Amino acid sequence: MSIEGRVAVVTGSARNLGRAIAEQLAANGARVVINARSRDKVDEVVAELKAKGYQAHPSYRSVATPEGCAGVIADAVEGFGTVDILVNNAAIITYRLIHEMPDEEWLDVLNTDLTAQFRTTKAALPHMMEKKWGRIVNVSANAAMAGSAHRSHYAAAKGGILAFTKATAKEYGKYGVTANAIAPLVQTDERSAEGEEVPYGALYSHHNQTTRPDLQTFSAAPDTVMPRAHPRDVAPLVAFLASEEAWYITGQVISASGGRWM
Amino acid sequence: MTDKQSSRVVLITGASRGIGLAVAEAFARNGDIVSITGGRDRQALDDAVGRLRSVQPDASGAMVDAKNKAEVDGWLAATVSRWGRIDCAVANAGVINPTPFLDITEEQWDTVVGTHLKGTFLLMQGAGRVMAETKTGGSLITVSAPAALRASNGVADYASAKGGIIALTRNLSKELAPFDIRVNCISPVAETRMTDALQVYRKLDAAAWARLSPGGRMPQPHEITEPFLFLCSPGARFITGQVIAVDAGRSV
Repeated sequence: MSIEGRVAVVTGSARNLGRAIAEQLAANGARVVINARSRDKVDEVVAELKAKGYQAHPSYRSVATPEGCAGVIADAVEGFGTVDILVNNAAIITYRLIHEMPDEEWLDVLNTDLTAQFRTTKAALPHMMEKKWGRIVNVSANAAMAGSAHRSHYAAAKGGILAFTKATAKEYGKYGVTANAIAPLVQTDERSAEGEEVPYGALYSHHNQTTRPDLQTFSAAPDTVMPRAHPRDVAPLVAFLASEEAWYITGQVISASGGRWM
Repeated sequence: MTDKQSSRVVLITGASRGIGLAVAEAFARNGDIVSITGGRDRQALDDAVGRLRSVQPDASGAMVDAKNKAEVDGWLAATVSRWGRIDCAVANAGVINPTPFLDITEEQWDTVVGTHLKGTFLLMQGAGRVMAETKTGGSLITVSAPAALRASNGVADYASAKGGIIALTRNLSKELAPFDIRVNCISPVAETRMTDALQVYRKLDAAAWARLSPGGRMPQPHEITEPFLFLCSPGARFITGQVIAVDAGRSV
């Protein structure tokens, strides 16, 4: 499946799913831009990829600002001359009930999880339109379809991503640009509401099952069709959607969650 | 990226021509052992098997009416007795006869719905039973159509069957997961005898028909085979119960 030589930007790719996606794309022959705010972690991933003989370029921008989003694409142009594949993966999350959620918290999550995807897409599209070739993969979540307790802002942003993805597909199909969304469920580290990084499971033991007593107002029975995947199990889907051969697939939402959304 | 694996046993119904044959050829090129069926045209089936054997000598074919349980079971039994297992099955067999809804006969309804929906049921159950017995897991793929995802016209029987196939896919994805069997659906568009029939029925010239495709042209079947291979690859191991339209956004 060919993505050899393509330039891929993966936002939020210093760890977890973004990192696994970047590694998969690099392994398939793409030149990848590793993006995150943490300089050390970005440098570490870039060095690791280069040690494997892959081509990688760092981007230390935060996608929380318009300048940061444009900057990520500018970094790709600086490093590799263009951008062919954009994977909008960066996201933040907090856990709070709606009636307790401050406006700022809602807006912060919408800004990073939804608006940033618009901004990076906007910056990347001219490069793709010029070549009449582009692949955009937006990372959504099952919460987009099913909603999710204690993270209404996140669910709303992920739902917005689906409509945005379909709109992108409609506007740019004629330029050879496809846009698809994935809804993965993978085991990742998470950040607590205080910004502290915690291992997966410390906040939630299961999908929709919180271990925090103060959040135990809703607990859906987890529909565990398959175990939760490792990020590297989901990354091949992104590589597939980014490939030449997936040219006729656009505007789709594909859940890679072991059968949790069907 | 499709994680080339050789010698999987792959079954595809309705593969004498069109998308079915293109998919069979793609699996054969991957080194897989493909067994295909044709329903009506022996010569077309023989030609198709000949093409497949030039790529992978172990390819085989059988004349099978997809909605006839005895014929489907006979084909499955012969395949299993030869190769011992089934790794992937694609329920692709179908017929279309664009007809105004008010004119569809009971006989046509039974033929069209039977071939698509009952045919999919028979293959999924037969192959699913083999996979469950051999405990080897596997990947099942059903084939739907844009007519099931968005309003169409002149194909009420076909659209109903294709909609049923999506519901069947979702049900099976849950029910067969304990057997490590994944079940997904592809809704493809490519230039085939089916799209020719629709084009004639809707009185569209080739240019108008092409404009329906955002790419400005209808792909040939061999251009849309990769999603079938991907869904049968290890890279799709956490993907089940999904419906993926391979139609350039037509149904979005």
